[in-house]
Amino acid sequence: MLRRQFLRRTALALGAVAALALTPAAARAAGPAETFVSTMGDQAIAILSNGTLGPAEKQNQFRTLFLQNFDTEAIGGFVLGRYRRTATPEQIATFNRLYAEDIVQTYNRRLSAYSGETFQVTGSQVQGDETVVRSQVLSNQGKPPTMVDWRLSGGPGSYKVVDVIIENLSMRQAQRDDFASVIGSRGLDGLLAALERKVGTASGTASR
Amino acid sequence: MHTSRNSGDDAGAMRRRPFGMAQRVAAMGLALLLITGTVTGCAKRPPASDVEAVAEYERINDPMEPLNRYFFEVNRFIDFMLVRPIAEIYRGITPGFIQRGIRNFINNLQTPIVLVNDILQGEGERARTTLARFIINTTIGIGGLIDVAAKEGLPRHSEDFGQTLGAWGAGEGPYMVLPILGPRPPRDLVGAIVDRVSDPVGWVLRAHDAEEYGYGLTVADVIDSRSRTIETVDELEASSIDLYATVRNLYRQQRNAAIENKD
Repeated sequence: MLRRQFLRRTALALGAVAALALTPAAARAAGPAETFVSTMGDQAIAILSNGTLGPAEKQNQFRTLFLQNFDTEAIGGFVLGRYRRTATPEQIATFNRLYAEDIVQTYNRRLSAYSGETFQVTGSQVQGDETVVRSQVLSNQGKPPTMVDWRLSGGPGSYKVVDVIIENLSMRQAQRDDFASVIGSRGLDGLLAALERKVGTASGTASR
Repeated sequence: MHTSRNSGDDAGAMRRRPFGMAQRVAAMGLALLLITGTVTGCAKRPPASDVEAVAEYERINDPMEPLNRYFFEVNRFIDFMLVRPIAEIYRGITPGFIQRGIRNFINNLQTPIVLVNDILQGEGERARTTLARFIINTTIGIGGLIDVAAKEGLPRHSEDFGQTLGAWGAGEGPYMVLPILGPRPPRDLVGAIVDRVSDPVGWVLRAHDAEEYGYGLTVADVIDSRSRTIETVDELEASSIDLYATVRNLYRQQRNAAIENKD
């Protein structure tokens, strides 16, 4: 029963990240962090709903949007955890390249499931050096809304996303355990090889 | 409500329920200690000199990982062969309003357990919500088929005895994956057993010699739940390299959030 609840929740969650979909969010007064997230959302929805773009062009525009707004190196550093310090500079460089590509592909895939959901920033909270912006993805098919929190580093003008928390599930924490397990059994080169395969196969086939 | 066909344990628990529950809690607590105490020692602990590795080993807390991985794969196989195909057919041929009705009906039958655990956690407000939901949905909602209460601003929340133990300060214990049941570390395994034996719906069915309806409900619950997670599980498989490690982490995050009532 627990596992099912867990999966149900995760289902809502991933289903809706899928739906990073946005209404023009400027309707309410908001702080700079909230504006950063809602602007990112507006741009994502503009790409999603632009009928003149082919799938490849959409993917390219998303890539630019993600790389602009996500601090992939910081996220990569977190998910590598303690293994980063024993890695060679070449391994780090390879990891950063593959990991940025992996993030882009993952969110491309999730966004491709977009079906008209709307997006609403509901508030923000400063936590130490970071700011957490809360948002909701609202279904247009009567499903319950999904909570998505965006953890940002930096300040006004330099915000970057360092974690996405879907229904209380931190994506970077899950990935840190995923990668630690792979490194533990196959070493860092094993992880790099696995990432290479994942990124390579995903770009070779149409996104699902 | 009297029963004679029951096992002595359940009948006794029914006659003097307040004590029955307390005794069960004590017994389960003891079981918890035994389980956590005995099932250690088959994973490679890193040398104490490697402080970071030891810290990670303790955070991951999965001493039975090889066995857990084995059952994880067994469960995936059962899912692939049986549960997922049925769930897809169910989703494909059942109209949406019937799916929602089935879900609401099952959720409503689970409300007594939620209520008991709300109370055990001293969550008065949430207990009132749960009780109001049960009354409204069972009557106006036609036996629970329609979730009228949610539309009236009383949204559903989950609660179980594993969460109650967590709220009381019990640690989760080492990670465990069981055949069929999936992730069940000791705290949540004890919780699931307590919820099962203290579920009034189960008592009623047993008292009327109608346990097969209970099995039917469980099957419906499994299939309906699975039908709602098909894309999510696919996405998890696509986005993770080691699905087992990812699920282990997400399970714990989800349970911790549930214990803090963030859900």
